[in-house]
Amino acid sequence: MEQQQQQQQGMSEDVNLLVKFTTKQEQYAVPGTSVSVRASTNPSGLDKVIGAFIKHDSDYQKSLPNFHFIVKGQLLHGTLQERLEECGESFESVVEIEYLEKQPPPTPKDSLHHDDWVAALQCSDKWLLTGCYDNTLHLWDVAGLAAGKGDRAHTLTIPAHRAPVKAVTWVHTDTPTKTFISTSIDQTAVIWVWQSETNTVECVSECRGHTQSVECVAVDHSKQFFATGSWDNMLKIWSTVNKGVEEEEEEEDEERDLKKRRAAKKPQKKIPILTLGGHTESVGGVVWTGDREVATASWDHSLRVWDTDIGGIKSQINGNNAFFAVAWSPLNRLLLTGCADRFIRMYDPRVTEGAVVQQKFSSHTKWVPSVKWSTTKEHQFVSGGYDSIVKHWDSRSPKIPLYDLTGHEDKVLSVDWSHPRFIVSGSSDCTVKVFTDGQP
Amino acid sequence: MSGKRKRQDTSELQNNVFNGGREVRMYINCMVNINTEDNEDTSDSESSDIDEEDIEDVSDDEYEEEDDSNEADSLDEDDTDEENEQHQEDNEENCDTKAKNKQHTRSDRDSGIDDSPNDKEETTEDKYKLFKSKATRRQISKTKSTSDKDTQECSQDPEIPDEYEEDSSDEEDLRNTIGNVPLKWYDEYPHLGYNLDGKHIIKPKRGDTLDNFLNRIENPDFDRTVFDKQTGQDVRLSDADLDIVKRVMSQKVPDASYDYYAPWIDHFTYEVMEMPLSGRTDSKKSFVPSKDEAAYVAKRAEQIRRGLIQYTHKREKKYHFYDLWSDKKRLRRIHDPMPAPKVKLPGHWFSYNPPREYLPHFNKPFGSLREVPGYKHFIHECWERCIDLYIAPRKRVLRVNASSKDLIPVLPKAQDLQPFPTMEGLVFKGHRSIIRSISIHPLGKFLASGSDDQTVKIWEISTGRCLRSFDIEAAVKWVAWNPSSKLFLLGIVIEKKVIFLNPETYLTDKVVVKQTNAVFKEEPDQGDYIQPERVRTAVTWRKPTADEWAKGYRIVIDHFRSVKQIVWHKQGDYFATVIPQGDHRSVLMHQLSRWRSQVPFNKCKGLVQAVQFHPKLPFLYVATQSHIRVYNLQKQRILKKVQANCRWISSIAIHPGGEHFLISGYDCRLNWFEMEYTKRPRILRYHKAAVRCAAYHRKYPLFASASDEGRVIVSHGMVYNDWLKDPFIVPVKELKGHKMFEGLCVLDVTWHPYEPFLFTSGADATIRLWH
Repeated sequence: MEQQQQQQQGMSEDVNLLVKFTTKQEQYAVPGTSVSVRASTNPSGLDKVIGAFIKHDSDYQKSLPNFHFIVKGQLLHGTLQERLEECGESFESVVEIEYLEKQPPPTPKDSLHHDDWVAALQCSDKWLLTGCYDNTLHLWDVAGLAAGKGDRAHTLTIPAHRAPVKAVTWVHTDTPTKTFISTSIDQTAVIWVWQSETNTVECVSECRGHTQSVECVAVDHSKQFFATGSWDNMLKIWSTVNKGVEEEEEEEDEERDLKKRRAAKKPQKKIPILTLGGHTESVGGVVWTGDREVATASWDHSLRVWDTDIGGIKSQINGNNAFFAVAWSPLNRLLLTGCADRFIRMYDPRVTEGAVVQQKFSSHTKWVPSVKWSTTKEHQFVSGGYDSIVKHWDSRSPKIPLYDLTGHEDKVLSVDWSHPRFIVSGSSDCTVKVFTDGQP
Repeated sequence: MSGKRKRQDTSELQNNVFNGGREVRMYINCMVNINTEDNEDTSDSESSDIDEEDIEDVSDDEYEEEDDSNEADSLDEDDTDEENEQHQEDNEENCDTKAKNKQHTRSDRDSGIDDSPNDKEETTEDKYKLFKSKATRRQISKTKSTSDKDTQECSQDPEIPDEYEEDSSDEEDLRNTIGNVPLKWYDEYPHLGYNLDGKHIIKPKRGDTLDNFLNRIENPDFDRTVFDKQTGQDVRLSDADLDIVKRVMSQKVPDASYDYYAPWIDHFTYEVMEMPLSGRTDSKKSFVPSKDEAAYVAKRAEQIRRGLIQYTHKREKKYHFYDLWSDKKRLRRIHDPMPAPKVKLPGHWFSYNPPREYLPHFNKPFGSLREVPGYKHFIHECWERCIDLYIAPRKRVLRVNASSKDLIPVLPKAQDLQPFPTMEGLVFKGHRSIIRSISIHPLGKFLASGSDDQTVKIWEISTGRCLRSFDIEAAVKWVAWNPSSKLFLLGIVIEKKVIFLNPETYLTDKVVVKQTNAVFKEEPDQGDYIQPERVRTAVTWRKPTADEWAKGYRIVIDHFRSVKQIVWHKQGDYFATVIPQGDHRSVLMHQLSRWRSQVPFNKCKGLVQAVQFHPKLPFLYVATQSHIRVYNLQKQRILKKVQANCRWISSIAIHPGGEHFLISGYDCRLNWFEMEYTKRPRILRYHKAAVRCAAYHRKYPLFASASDEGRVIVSHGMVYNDWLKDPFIVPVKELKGHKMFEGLCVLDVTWHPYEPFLFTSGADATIRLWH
């Protein structure tokens, strides 16, 4: 028996594969010839092969990085043999292996302390906006974060809402006068204008119309519209442009003092351009997937794509669980959803037949309330789960994330990767963790 | 006995027979020798010629011998005289009736009884007869035909009127009329009876011994003369009589002419009926065909034609013959033969090393055939062993391969019954003491919890964030959201109070909040409604004070004893409160909009543990310690009383369909009842400690139960529309997570209104969400 096993091992060792290496990173290109490698080779073994090639062909002097190898559409984690058996591919044909430089792991950069749970955050190129459960918004200086200043990078606290803030988003960040929107359990979405130079903030308009907590907000690419989803099952489309609508005189007594705290100028009341009803449960996530196209994820187990021009449903994808979050990337035009069952699912909204779930990412152990695509890398995204871990994924690796970003001590409520260099996450341990992606 | 001796005997006998005046005694002798004579007779028939000659010779010698015997006999004459008499009598009695008759007929023929000369005549006559017969014998020997002899004899005796010789009609001797009485009665009389005329028949004179002696000497027929007691006369026996006597003595048929070997004629047999049973001629009618039969045949023919009678031909019996020489291996009478078990043929080594069990003494196997000791019975024993094996009775045993697993009913895989909660999703932390009760807002976004730390908290379900916390003055025993979509109201039970709280801000639509506040701003107009005494002493509705209003209180209802539970009717206007110690006022019904209460039951038997409203119909389920009573509130009467099969009910849950309900008990059991058939509940015994509570999901076929051992068990409970189909119950998941605290663990379970999420509140001050 032992001999047989040895023989088998010997056999398996003896199995050689013809592989062909390709890459899109030209500095590491190797000649496109087929090479014979053993089937039991793992990524580190392939690394050596590639290294030998590169050093042989060119005068590459620098120390070589490690590589990721993509075999049959997925990142290689185990041996070649396992991967091929998983795909059901034969060992006879030439296996094409794409390789790309392995990124250095994200490094924890900073921890920003808040007074309460951080429910929402978004990073612009220079400023980080966070929304907190103590009804406030906070602005942080990204440059300060990069320098590792920590809490000293805090720029401004805005007592924005009468109830916990649920979602924030930047609108205009180019000019010194910056605009952002925050939504809250107090059933409003508020457009703020912030003069970065003078560090003054102004409530431009208050969007009323939802009858329950406004859970999510997303701004159009043209920055003219934004959409909000709420617990009252409605999706509402608003205009960011202040049209100077007459404000209503009638106000509740309770809100008076709050109003005083806000800017001296009274905010304008806004009404939605469009109200899209159709979901039977609350809307958990909303994202613009085109100029006139909004995708929503709802607790009623469905993803819907709405056309804002005609004001109706374009397509619908049904899932098995309540959807909490949705993300869409213009680079690959795919939807990522966080569900009530610890899996992240990738959908292609253009596919309506067959297997609608393109990929299922399983590594989180609890619910995933937030996912975000990278804005620059087509295949990468981050997710934060109630298991207090932020995961950095490659969409070609469904079982194993690239990196686990630990540090939070409680549920991660939101993550953001809008700034290409920073992965930020807000948690119910009242902190925001900042990770720098790639080079420090 | 040799042939010669025989012949002597017979000659002697013939002498005896044929000499005339012989004594009776001689006659007796001849009786003794009858057997031998028989033998001779038989031989006679064989060779008749010789016999005839012998007889001739004998007859010649006859008289010579006769004299000698007479002389010899005379000496002891006197002595034997009496004896002779005796013998004679005996002889008579012994004789067959026929013989007797013949004697009588003979005596009959001798007409004069008393005159002896008649006797003499007779004897001469007989002599003549004898002579004649001798002569005929001679003739016979000449003609040599035995068959002719009789006819000749008959033809030669025409003078003897023998017409009634064989006739037995007058066999009675009518001369003596004394009847059948012993004759010795007449011994003393001179007569011996009476004749037909009634006159004495005088005893004839017998003469003295001298006369007798003389008679013997003189009378040649003396030895064939017998004394007839009836008449008192001597009777001489004829030859025919003697012949009959001889035949009888030799146990032959008395009639000499009887042919033993005559051909048998069957007059009546089953084959031959020569003689008709009756002499009557057949009637004329018997030749005419029967009308009845004709009618019967016609009727049957008609029936057959119509098909009313169908003759089913009997199937011929199929015989199975055992084919002795067939090639098939089917043994006779063994229908399912079992071949002897096939044993693997022994190899070379086993050929001299039998199995160990056969050789207890040889422990050492033989290394080679050479070492095997010689044993002459070896082959024979091998053969016998084989035969033993071969003819051993075998029985085919149908074995059921049943394992313990087969007894367990086949349950579907839990995966097929998804969705159901499998893991812990969120932990709601914030309370500082035991959480007694939780309630989920009908919209599914908020969760209210009441705790012993005297707070009520409202939680956001999606994140587990505590949104509001209200300080109540006492430990909260029960919380329940108003199910109406138009009111935003939380019912709270503390001690003797029921408080309605509006958590207000931003949790739901402003309009609803406002509306709720407006409703409770003013006390409703009671009109001329007067509260009954029984109710007034039990319940007091009041508006909260200003402070309380600011805290969110909208109505406070004071009860007379501590309240345990508040249950809303689905429309949100009516609610019921349970006061376990309330005696007959344990269950109170309240109407929120009109601030009114009533006591629905005059009497309450037992301690009321829980009440529930039917989800669709106006029914109220009241659970006491061991019974459930179902009341129709509209008709105000009891619908059903159910024995709960449980010692102490802890809670009751009603299936959203309304046809089933679940009873949890402190005796570790969960009972699933069907409304239509409450006698036999399904008992679920998967808990090991007291079951605190159970709950049905509103949309999914799921139910959960929590027990004090710290486990929450989720079961799949499918209910079918088909009434005949039993509910399909499969326990699917066991959820553990809560920690024990003071012997308590999970105190309340609730399902999310539309998601398959389960919420449990525990004694460890946490609420957990399972998904």
